[in-house]
Amino acid sequence: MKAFFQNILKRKSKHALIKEQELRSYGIAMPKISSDLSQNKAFLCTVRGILIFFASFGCIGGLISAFELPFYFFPVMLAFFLVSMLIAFIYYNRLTFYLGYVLFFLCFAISIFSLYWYVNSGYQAFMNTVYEKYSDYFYLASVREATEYITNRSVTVSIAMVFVGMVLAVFLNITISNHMSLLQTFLLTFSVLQVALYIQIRPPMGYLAMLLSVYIAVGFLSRSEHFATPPLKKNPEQFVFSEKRNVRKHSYISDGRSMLTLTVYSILFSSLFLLLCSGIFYSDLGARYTQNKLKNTTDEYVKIFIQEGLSGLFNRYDSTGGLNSGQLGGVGSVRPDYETDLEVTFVPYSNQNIYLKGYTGVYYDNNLFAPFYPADYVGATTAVMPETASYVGNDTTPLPENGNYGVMEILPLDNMETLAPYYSYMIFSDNDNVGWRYLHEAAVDETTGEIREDYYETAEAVIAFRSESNTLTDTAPTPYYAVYSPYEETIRYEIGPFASSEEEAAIYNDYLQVPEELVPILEDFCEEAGLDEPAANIALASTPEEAQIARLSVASALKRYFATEFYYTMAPGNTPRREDFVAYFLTEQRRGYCAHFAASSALILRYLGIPTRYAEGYCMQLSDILDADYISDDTSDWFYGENSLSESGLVTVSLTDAAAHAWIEIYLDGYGWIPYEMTPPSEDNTVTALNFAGLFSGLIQSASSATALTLENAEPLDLPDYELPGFDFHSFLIKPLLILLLIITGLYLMYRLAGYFKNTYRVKQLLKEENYREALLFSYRKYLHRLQQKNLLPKEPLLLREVEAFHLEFLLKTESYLWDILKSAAYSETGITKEEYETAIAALQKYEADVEKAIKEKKKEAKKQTKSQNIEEKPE
Amino acid sequence: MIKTFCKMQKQNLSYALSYFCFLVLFCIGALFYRQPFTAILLLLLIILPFLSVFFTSRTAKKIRLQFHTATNSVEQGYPILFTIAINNPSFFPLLNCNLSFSYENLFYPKNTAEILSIPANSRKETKFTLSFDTAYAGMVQIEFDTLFVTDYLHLYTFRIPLKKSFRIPVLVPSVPYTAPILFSKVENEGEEDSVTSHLGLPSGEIKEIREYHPGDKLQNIHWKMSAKTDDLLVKEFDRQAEHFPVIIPELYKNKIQDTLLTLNSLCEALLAKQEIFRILLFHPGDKSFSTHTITDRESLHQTLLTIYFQPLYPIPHYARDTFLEETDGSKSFICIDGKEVTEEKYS
Repeated sequence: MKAFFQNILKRKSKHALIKEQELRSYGIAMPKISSDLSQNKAFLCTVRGILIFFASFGCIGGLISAFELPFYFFPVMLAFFLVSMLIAFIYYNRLTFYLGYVLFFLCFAISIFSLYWYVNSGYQAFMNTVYEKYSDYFYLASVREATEYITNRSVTVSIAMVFVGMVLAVFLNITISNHMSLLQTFLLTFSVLQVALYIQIRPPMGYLAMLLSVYIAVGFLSRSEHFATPPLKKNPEQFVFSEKRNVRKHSYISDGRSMLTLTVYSILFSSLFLLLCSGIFYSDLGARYTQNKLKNTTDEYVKIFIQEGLSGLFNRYDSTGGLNSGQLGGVGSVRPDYETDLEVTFVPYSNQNIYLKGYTGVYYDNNLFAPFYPADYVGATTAVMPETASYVGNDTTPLPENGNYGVMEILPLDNMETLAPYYSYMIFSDNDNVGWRYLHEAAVDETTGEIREDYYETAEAVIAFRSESNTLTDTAPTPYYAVYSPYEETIRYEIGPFASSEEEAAIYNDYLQVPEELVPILEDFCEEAGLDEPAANIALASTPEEAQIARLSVASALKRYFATEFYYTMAPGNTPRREDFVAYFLTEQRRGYCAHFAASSALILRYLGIPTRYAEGYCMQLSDILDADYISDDTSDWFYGENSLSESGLVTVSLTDAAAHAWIEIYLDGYGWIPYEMTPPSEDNTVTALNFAGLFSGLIQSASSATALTLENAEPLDLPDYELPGFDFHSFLIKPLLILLLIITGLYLMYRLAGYFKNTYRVKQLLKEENYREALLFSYRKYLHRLQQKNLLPKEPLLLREVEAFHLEFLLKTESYLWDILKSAAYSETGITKEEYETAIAALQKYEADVEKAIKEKKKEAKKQTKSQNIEEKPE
Repeated sequence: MIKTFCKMQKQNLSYALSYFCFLVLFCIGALFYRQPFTAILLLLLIILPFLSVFFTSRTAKKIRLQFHTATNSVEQGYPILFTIAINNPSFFPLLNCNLSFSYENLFYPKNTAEILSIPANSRKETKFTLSFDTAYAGMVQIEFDTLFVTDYLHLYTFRIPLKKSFRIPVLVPSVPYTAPILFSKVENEGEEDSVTSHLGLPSGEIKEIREYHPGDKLQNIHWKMSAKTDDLLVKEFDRQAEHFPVIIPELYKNKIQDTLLTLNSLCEALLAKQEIFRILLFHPGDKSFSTHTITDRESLHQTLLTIYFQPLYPIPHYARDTFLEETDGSKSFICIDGKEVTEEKYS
């Protein structure tokens, strides 16, 4: 009975309660199991620290070494080891647990702010190297170049490694010390190492052996039941008790010796295993490797991630490199794959851009510049698809004898369109010279002679035409040839208008279409851009030449406005679903790529009365021509007439989907359709980081993001001459400390409040269940605890009569009925009634008040006595 | 224990499935991505289960278990300390050793199995001490059934049958008997197990004449015969038939502890008076009584141990009523029922 009552004063675990009940019911119980194994917590933490060190250093060290970045091996290794040990010892006891993480993060924050530039430079060095290797592996044209402000890579990489290792060690501490989970540990470390492994870069064997040993050790330990962290108490139990369906299990919590033995065996085994299997790294595992869909898809996403960052993965379309056939919007950013789309063999004749048009957009509606008007559109004069070639000829037109013209071989590799430079008047396929025809003829039904009204039907006919003419075969692409006159030459010599008066009337009728809902937006924009005045000059022109000049002036003014008020980016963001592409660009977005500028320009100029159409194709720039493969000096079959670039030879230019472009064509009376470039040039794409968030800017934002911040002094810095900017002591130390203090205080108050509410809730719950016995004993236990806190009672289990004796002595009185009720609550089988409970609680509360009063009186008496003693002792 | 083993096998199956999923994922990774390190991990995953099971089986065969208890019996309220020593002479530690056992007081059987999950360190003997608290007297039986050893990857479990049973009596404490001791006697009438007691009165008839033994009374010397034979001869007389007190304890389940306590204290009091008495134990199965003559502490101890193995019955006064029925109330006896001691005197 004494033991029973003593037990109710302590907080009993479920196990202890079960044992008590078992003892009472069956006369025997097994409350304790002990062993001669010493559960040395320091030893356990050390073993775990070793595992964390192996995992973190194996991962980070392996990754850095794989990319052959320099770092100071021994200092870094020592730092990793110390960090791992410190982190592992967080689970040593309560004090280290509650304070450990706080102190760790505090040190981490202070250190990283003071060494920010080193860490940043180290990170940028790593990222630059990674991008370089990935670009080489995937043959990407775009290379990220971030600024390393401190160029001593050994120092910067070492410091960055330590900080990354600290972060990794924190997570590994949870996965190893707390959960002992192989899956979590593996995902943490293997995914980081994949940065190197994915592009077949092998880290040194030592690091792989470290990782492998951790995987084996953690895998084995996680399957055992003796790896758990002992409770953070002073003398924790050695065994964990659990019961399920009449089967009780007593598990030894943690065996340090076994852990260490297993770790050592894992290290030995993994080293031996790697040694035996190292031949795999040198075998041609990938030599007979054929591409598969999964790898290709993964490669695609990796390339996207490398070039565009995370945001690039969330585009709606798979790829927007290349032509889009007039479809606008729905793309957050352009992701060219930099694969060669076509190869163009010709003799360069100009240092200007050469436009190969493949698509012409006529009718704008619902974010699409369709190639011709829909069948139910009222007001269209013609419904034909405009010709790809600008020159309308027939198949009997001979080659001109005078003038300049060239032959361009266009070999399409990854696109479906038939492209041709401006002022082409012949397009013929390669094999057997089967003849030539124009693309627009596919819009005419050969049997009926009627114009196909269904765009898709027409598109299918185009595809059929190309297949028939062997332009694009299943086995090998076949080039086609365009005979063209350089349009600069054409314009210079004023070859004259192409259209008849009826055709010109049709052009003015058909190529001024603007959706009605966009008219107000276009009106506001023209006013904002100040285009009304130059547009008015068109009407005021007295001669056709003046009118053409006025039109070009309007286009030029618009282009200038775009260049100053808008900017070019390949990642402008998505057009919201219910917004019009052009409207959103002109009003909200104000940034975009070629399609944005071309589509908007087309509608703006149409609104101002200038017939305009939208064109897509490939733009061959001088830089592409300069990178071309030189074929031959003999250009006799390829260019006829005078070439302004007299020393040009025959070249083959490879155009990737990055060369895909959109522009507009403005109709000038007497000249025809003149291509016009409206896209402003792109800005400098260097990414620099100013703030802490910018540390990882390259990972999240694309390399060409125009939101990157720049520093005033963006030159590389060398140690030790440059004085690095320090950090603001007040901002980075005092403020965080104060905030931390507030957080700790707040947490403590919340803890006390939670304890208070928990106790109150517990009593209410017991009363609700009419368990008055337990409710009274709970309240009595709390009362005793308060007396013990005030050092009025010894802090050990006390019998009822001992407590009663204390009250008698201290208060010189006792309420005997309270102790009778407490005895009934403790011992009797029936328990107590509600009235007895209420009586007892009232007595306890009275006792508490009386005790407080008695304490104060005794203190007063003590003070009086002390004073009187002092008076007596005072020398005369 | 079969249930425990089946449960372990189910757990092994779930681990094996998760392992297999891991293997498949690595297979896919190695096939599609062709990374050498992935191939190495795959190879490792294939090899590890075999190594794990192989080394575990080799080590499990060498495992030795020893059991030891500090005392042969304990007094009620004192703990029983039981030590298990697991010796692993191998170089490989075993991390998943589950020892299934059960313990109970035979008076209060319970249907609970216990499993002790312990590691077996390599090249070491590890000792585990089980401490059993006792609250009631009775025979404590501790049975060690099987040692289950599971491999490192938790794929296969080896069973090592033990079938070791230990019995440790928990004795009632010695409490002085304060009530007056009553005697009831029953006629022996030539029973084979009758004991000659020094308390019987001599009847006067000479049973035999024998040689003098030191200690014999001088008044019993047969002087006439001694003079004739030149040897000292004494007369030995027949004694009256012995009458022993008969005690019948009620092994009623609800009061067994009090019964044992009272019985023990009464018997010790009788032994202190150098009394010989009998204890009749009732067997409810065949409604018979077994007679145990108590002449010293050793025989009392043995009888108490016999009681510990007796099945308890739920009916009060069962032994008393049965005895009265059998003897037609002709014999007197002392009945102990819990703390009550009643003398049933019959003519």
